[in-house]
Amino acid sequence: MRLHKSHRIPVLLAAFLPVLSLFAAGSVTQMSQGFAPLTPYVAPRPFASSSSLDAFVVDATSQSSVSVVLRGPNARVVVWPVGVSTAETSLRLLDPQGNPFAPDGRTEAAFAAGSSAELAGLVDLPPTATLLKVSPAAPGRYTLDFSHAQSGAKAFMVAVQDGSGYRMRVSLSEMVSSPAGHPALYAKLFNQNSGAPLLGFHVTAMARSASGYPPARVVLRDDGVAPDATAGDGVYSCLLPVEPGGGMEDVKVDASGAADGLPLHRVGHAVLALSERGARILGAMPCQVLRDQSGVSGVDVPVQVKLPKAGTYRLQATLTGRAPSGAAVEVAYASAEGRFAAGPQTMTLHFAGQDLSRAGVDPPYTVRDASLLDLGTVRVAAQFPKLGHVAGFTLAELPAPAPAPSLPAKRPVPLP
Amino acid sequence: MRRRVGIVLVTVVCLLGATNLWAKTGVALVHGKGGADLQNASTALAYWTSPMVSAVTKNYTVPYVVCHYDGTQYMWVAGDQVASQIASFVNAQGITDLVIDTHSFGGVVVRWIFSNPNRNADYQTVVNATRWVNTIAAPQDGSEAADLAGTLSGSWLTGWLVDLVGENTNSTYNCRTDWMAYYNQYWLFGTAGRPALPKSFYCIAGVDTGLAIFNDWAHVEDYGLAALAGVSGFPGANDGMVAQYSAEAVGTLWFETDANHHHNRRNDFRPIGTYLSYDF
Repeated sequence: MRLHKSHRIPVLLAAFLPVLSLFAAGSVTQMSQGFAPLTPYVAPRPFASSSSLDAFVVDATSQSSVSVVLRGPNARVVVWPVGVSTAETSLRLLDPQGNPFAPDGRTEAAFAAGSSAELAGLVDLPPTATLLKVSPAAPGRYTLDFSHAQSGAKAFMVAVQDGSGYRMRVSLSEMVSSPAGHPALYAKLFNQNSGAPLLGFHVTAMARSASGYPPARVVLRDDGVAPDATAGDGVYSCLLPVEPGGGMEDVKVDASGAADGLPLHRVGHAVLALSERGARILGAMPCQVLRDQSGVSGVDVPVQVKLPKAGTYRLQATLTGRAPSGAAVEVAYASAEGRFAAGPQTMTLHFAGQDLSRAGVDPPYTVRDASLLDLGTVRVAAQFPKLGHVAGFTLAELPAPAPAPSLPAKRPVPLP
Repeated sequence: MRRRVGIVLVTVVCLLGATNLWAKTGVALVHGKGGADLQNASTALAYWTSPMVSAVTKNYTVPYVVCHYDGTQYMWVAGDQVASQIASFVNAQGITDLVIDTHSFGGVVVRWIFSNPNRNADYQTVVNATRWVNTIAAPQDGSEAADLAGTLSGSWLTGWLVDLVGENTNSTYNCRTDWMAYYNQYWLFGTAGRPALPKSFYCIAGVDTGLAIFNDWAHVEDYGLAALAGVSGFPGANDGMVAQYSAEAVGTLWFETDANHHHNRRNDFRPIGTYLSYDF
């Protein structure tokens, strides 16, 4: 049977509709040349974390009590027995005068006048943790008494938020250690309420290597000797003796000293990624400005790298310019990835003209924050802070930026 | 002549209608971190609960897949498993309009997939088929609760914290604020200063504060979350496990909820699953 001529096209269309719909469903966005429409430029920041926490383990086989310092309102103590599933109902907290806190009370009468205390949950209910929320009248040494413990636990975990403004801020000079040198570690001890530094503390750090090196313990000093910038400013510094090798390095910082005549202990953490041994970003070759009849269609930046082994790698970098105000502005992001043999290689970053014009600033641009990622091991193999400059054209020669995609609408959700 | 005009009109109408007429919608649910047994389908279903899955899929009328991966592993290990399962679902069902709903670490796992779409063919399939991603309480900037687990890490970590934060596992490290800062700087897209993701992400954040997160006194998890919120040092509102700032660090805010981290993956305290079904 032959179709009438006038029916052929609709029938053919109907037959191909499923195929057409597949094309209409969308395609993978080209990730190798991704523009980052996020300005102003946010330079990769050294890691920093703040801690107001003290945490420790009590050996219940040799200790029947432990002293905890509570300083301000809404101090919190969490205690839980290790390795047992039963609730601990006989744990006692004694105030600085030795008066016991009633474990079954939610009243404010358990402490001396002017203090308030609240037993918030957990004591007689599974799981086994006890949370004490305490508002002491004045800073002081409180006592956690385990002597009547019935759980059979051999140890107790204790975590304390003392309710004060004393903080330790841990930061690293860089997230990834390059083969060029050791990263600097900083611990800033301060009172966040007054801004005053905390001086005379003993600060140590231990780097636990994931790459097989034995843990290294170092002392941080506030003596003005490099890498410490200023003596007596509450910022304690050291160089971390880590070696390139790939992998993550876990850094734990302990600070011990005194504040207001009472002992103060802070624990902080940071993580460091080590570059891979033998991996290098050697530098960029002169950029190639690509032109067509309408102007500058893009810029290629060939980058020379040295790879320690064959594998799949991604090179990524950001292009930044200067706004008339002088502020750094992100212009574009580009990446190139593929499988490469070991040894010297060239990877080319391509910045499209439509991306370059989006920020609206004239060249020269700086190629910065280049990083080489080993996609097989998911490690940063190497990095290079500033690769060079892109110039040789003007903003007027670039094509207009592509319109930003519109965000699909979502049905609103009623508020509770 | 009229006949030809008619044919052209029919052709145009057919072409315009092709996308919606033939697009097949589906939904994938991606759970958060936890134990290795989460790679069992039944454990993953229990994570979400049947009422939640029923609500999200409009009483099972929308094709769905509940992903199940080892909840102790890094995001790329989990990502490989999740991408494989979603790609199989997409290919088997002919899904061309996929919505992905994630809870907690599942949002980081899916962001890994969308940040590395060239990792393998499954990743490409998932990104191609996806309409958008909804992340519930994803620790996109890390979780202070995971930091606490790190502070207390080692063989001492036990009891309720094991259930809530996980043991000394790779996924717990992955969720620490310092580790997520590293991943956001080099490996993941979507945060400030990094390239945009290839598809839209919508975030849902838990915004209760302090200890007022006892959503349901029958659940022991609520006590544990209250304890975590009390001692973890969250900066601002949180759901007991993930702070609001972290949950909203990637994508466009869809809505906020006072359901805590235990209940915002369920359809009990608040009808989160019903809200997610608004997408269909």
